[in-house]
Amino acid sequence: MSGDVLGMTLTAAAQAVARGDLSSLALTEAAIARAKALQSDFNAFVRIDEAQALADARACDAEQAQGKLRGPLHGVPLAYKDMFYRKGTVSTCGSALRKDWVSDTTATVVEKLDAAGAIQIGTLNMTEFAYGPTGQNAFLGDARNPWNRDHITGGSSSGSAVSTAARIVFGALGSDTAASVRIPSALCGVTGMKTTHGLVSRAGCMPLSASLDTIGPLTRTVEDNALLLSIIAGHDPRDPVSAANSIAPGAYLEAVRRGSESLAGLRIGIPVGYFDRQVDPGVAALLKAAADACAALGAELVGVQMPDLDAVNAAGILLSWGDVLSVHGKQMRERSGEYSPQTRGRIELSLGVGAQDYIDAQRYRGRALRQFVDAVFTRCDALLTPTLSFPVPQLAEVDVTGGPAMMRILDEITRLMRPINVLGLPALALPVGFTSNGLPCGMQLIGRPFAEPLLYRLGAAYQGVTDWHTRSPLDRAAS
Amino acid sequence: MDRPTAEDIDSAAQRAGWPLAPGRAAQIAAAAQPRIAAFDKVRASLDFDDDVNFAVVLQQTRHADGAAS
Repeated sequence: MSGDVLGMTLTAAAQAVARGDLSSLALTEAAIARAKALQSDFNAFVRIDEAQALADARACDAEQAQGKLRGPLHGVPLAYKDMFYRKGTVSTCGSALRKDWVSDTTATVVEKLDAAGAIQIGTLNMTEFAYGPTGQNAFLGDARNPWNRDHITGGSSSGSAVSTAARIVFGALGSDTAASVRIPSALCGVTGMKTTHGLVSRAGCMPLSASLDTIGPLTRTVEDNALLLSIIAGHDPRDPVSAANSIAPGAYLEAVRRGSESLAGLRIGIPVGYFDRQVDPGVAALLKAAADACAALGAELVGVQMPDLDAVNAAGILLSWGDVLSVHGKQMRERSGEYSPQTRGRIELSLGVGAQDYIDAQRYRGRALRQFVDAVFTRCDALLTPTLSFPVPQLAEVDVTGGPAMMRILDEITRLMRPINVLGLPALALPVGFTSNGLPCGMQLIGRPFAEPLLYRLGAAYQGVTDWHTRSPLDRAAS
Repeated sequence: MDRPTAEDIDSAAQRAGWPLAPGRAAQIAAAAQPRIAAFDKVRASLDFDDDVNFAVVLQQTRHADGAAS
């Protein structure tokens, strides 16, 4: 097999290794070589585990030669945000505070990917403690957008999106508390799933906000995304909010297969209010084209009036503040000087929430979800919205310290996504084109709780008639 | 009066044991006030029967298992 093996999809690469058409060693060596070559440009990795990854690849090849496959990801190189713990190794969580911190446990999602045969080639850059949506990191250095280094990657799963977009790895793990899978996916032009609250275990993952944290995959295609989710989803007694009744893993890939069918009979909601507020005309035009593509596939487009999402968004901020105040309480007392000033400033804002505010926000979530489902999902099967309301900004435009200016920018970057975390809903981020500055633009498809299969079906249908997900920043750089 | 006030923030910082730079409490209060106010609109509607168990509501409103349509 010749050509750029890293340009294959994850699904195709896994099949090629399983058949013996391609060795895991060749794939892993290629991934590590590209990771090293692009590190100075994009700063995607915190650490590249070359020796361990190559040893794992050789073992996979030996097993394949004997007709043994570990699982559906046998010998395929991946990388994970540096907050998914592996026993005996350092997880920096993007902070100087944890530069030498060694975990004594392994994340459930990492165990599942190991069992499926994946090879972890390293750990990925992220916002310090995953607390911020721009992808900047004063300790590790900013990850850079592979479409244009002067622009932000989005965060907090910055390296996850960059390494996937730049064809270093076939997919990556990220976390999403307010936008942190969807925003870097959208800004770097990859596919990312914010999963239903409780669908994927957070055990062994760095906590930011126990109320809102979710784990999800970033990949280049919907099919690849469904493959990864089919491996990492499912009940885990190690995570107290893990859902007992999740979906059969085969449902995700089965839904992707149905992406070749007509979408007739499905209603896609076009939001009226909140999501259409202050949207850049270029972004709005790309979203309309995406909706029209869905209509051409047979879906019915219906306008849906949004309930009061400003209150839901505010509840999300109060919930995250309450959780952050607790999680970072001891470190802020004892080692506040080791945080970067921007992160420390954000954490200090959590002093603005009172106990009653936090409890009321928790009590409000159930009511808010019922109201949203009644108002939205009785009228449509999925909602199609922008992710970011404006084109991807330059690093300099968001390079602000604490205070009102910072809050305005951060609020607007997360405004269209944070309410979905409060409601616990799944949302699939997909590339829909490029704005006039040449940077990717994304949409999110939002569904009822545990509607990931439906979102994958819609996403697969959309990617079946568009090619935005196949565009590579490496091709643009070469042209 | 809008809340929290800078005095509220100073008290919270003392309880938490977090050192704040001079004038920072007022900045935090100014950032928090509009968010508290936005939530206050719905807080007033919370009643005795509002369900604390969000996970139950997630299950009650879930999409049909495995269905892609």
